[in-house]
Amino acid sequence: MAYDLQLVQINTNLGGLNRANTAWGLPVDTDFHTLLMSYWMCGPWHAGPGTPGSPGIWLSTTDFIDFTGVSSPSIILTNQSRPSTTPIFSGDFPNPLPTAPLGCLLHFLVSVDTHAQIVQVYVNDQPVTVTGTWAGTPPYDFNVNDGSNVWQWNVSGVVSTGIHPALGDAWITNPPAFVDLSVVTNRRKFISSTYTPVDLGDTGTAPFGYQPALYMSVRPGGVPADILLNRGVGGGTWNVNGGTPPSFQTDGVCLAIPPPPPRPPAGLALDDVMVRTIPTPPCQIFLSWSDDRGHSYGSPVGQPMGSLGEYRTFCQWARLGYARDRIFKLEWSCPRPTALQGGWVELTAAKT
Amino acid sequence: MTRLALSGGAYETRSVIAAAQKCMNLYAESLPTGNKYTGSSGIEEPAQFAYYPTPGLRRLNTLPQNGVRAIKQATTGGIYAVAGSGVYRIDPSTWAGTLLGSVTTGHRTPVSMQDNGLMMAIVDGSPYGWSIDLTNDTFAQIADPTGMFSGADVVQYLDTYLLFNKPKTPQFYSSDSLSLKFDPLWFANKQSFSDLLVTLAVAKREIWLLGDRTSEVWYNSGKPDFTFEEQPGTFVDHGCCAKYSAAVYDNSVFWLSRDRQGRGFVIQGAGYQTKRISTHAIEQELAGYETLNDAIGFCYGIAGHAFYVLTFPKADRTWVYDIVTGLWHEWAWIDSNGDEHRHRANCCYPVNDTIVVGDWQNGNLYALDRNVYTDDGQPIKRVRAFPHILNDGNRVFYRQFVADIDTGTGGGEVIEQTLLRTTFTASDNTLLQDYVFDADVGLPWTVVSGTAHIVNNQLFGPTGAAEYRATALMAGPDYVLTFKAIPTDYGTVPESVDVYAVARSGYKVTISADGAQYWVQLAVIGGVSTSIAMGTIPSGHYAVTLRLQGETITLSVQRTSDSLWLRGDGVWATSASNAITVNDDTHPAPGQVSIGGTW
Repeated sequence: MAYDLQLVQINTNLGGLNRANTAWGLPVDTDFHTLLMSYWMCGPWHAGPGTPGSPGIWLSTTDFIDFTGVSSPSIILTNQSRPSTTPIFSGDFPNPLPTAPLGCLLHFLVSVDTHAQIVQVYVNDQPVTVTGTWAGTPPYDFNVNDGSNVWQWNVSGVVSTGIHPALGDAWITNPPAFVDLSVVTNRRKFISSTYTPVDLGDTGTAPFGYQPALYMSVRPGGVPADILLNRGVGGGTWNVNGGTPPSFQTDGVCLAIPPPPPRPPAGLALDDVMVRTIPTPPCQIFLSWSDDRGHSYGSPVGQPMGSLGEYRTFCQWARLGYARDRIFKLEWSCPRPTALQGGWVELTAAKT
Repeated sequence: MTRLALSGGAYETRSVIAAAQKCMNLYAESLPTGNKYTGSSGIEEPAQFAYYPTPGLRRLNTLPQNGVRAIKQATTGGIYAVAGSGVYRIDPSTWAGTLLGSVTTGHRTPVSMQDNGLMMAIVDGSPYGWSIDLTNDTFAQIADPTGMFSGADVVQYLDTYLLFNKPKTPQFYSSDSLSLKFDPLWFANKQSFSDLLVTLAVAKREIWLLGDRTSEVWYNSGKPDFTFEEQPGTFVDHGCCAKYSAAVYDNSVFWLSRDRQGRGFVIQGAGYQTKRISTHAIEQELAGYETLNDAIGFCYGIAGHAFYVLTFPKADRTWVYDIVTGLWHEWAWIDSNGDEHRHRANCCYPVNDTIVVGDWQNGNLYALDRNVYTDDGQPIKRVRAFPHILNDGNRVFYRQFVADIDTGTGGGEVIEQTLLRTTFTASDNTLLQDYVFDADVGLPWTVVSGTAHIVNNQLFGPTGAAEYRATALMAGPDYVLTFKAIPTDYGTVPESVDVYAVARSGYKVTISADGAQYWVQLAVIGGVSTSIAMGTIPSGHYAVTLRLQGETITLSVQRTSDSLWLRGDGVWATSASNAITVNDDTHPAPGQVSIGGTW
């Protein structure tokens, strides 16, 4: 089916990606088609677990995505609530990943189609090929709502309280369908917390590498209430390692978010200069007639009057029916010199 | 095929089964026939009449007040008009009005103006009158210490005297010779019958005193004191029911009649005789009007035809009598819904070589022009209905109908075409002279002065002024130029910056900012310029459209923040409208298109 990004958000807080599903009433226990995630992380990547002091952070999201180190970060997707169970997909990012300037943020957009067994990853809007292995046969029963386990993203190997909603969102599709991220518009259908469209591309109003705006899904035809439900809190504060939540834990350098680009000076810009001709309308003359002795006229029937120089144009109407008493009427409004001298009619008299 | 001949004018009878001949915005002209013109029958034209389009309206300029009530060229050459309550001196080249003073406010009825070579007298039906000194345009209210002057509906000139009717009396009075002073004894009553004087007209050096029921003719007898006397034996048993309907052409006076038996004839008086020129069809049409008293009449001549125009404001209809052919036609203006209304002309006067008419509703002055086929851009609907076709009451099968009409005389010459399109799609800091983009049309741009570059896919800066000329050639002088002017910061209005585009090498549209608000200006290079303040804009841009069609240059501005359109008075309105319209022939050639700005 032609798919227009139509998403239902699982939860605004990835750290609490669990029981909140009940409130959404999603049939995720039986099947889910696409999981879509958008989140921001600092770069460059940490050298690996247990190497403190290096710039950047090291992320491990054992439930959904597992960056197990700069050498071979992978995606692990399980069909159970525990990371210890067999993943339905286990895959690796290429090495190296795209890098962001020191202290800047990388945007990850991930779409996982469990039916067609597709994993698409875009980092900073650039496609990243993920190679991996699928286990089992779809459809997968993706049991989120087991009530006893907490789905978490691990940061630096430490079970965090989750990524701040300012930094990430996740959605599943409803109705089930694949969100094809190779379609540019599917990567662009986000708005900020101020309801203004956000272009995730690097030429948009929220360029990569700058403090992320709050992203959220927009369902086509969505009502304001949807937006409010899906809206996060915006902004986002980063703390050094060990800070109070939202504890997007870093080794500190990620705080060096560059200042916004300088605004252009107030001025006037010129755009879209166009010159078009003013077409001379082709002229028509309209004939109508009354068969009720002049009380009413039928719909006018047009004939072309010829363009300039087409002096042989003959304004002729054929097969005009019959009448006992008829009045013909000519009408035209062409902005051109004309002269009317009457008309001719070919007729056959009936006997009655 | 059988010829369907057309011969008469508009003739729609009380019952349409008799005749339903509509003739709208067409006038008939008889063609040479053997008997009438050549004396032989060998070179007759096949058709007896040809029907030509009535002249269109070419806008000359717009006076500041609405409703043009009079236009007159003084015998010394000066041009004067009254619009609303304002009396204006009209510039003969730009047709712009300079306010001289005001007549009574709140009236919309015609104003009468007449000069004696020294002074122009103006009356508007009120008890007051005004004068313009033709030597220096000094405007003043007529002051008459004798008390003789008591206002008038009409002022006319005869033998150095200015003649006035005294409203709601049988009297008329005159000024002193070549003066706007008055003698308390220089008046007279219309005397042959006891009715009131409605208006007066001067034709063939005689005064037609049109009364409420009857009329009479006076002349300058040269007798002492009041020099005018009734011409014996000229009593006319037709009065006038509409004081503004009287008009003069040649030695004839035309008016809408009322007499002691009825009303509603259109009368032509000449040589002490009157002739009913209205047809039964016209009279039955007039009989259906709620009022006839508001009828306004004037005459104009064009291409060998002289027309008496009779407009009925309340009925919203205009009828025209061709004095030469004796045929009537309807003169209608069509609104944007296609509905027919009275013609725009409210008053008329030949100024130099131009027949100028004033718009009844707005301040527009137009030229009546045979070579213009629209009413100031609005299409003119021409309609001609044929006579009944009957065949002894039997039914007739119509195989075909062919219109005997001149074809191929215009239309379709210019097709819709984009001559130039520049979207400025380029990486930042690309200089405009280096700009190429396959999807655009008419590139490249060449430097006239300075340099400008592209930022955010728009032409912006750097600091300084720059102008570029398009290399694209314009196919003809009529085209539409559009561009967007986009503030780069909606919180701050910049100062001393502008962007502009020039069309035909001579018409320049500029959007500028002065630190407080934005402005739009349309300037005729080497001529006049008009500016309108536009306020500020919270988002979006100003979409500017300059349309050049013949001598009519129109500018419209729409702001995209709320889709409103700028009006000429600076108000933003929901309906599409032109902000500035200029009629100008300074730059008739296609010229070139330039863009530029100051950043």
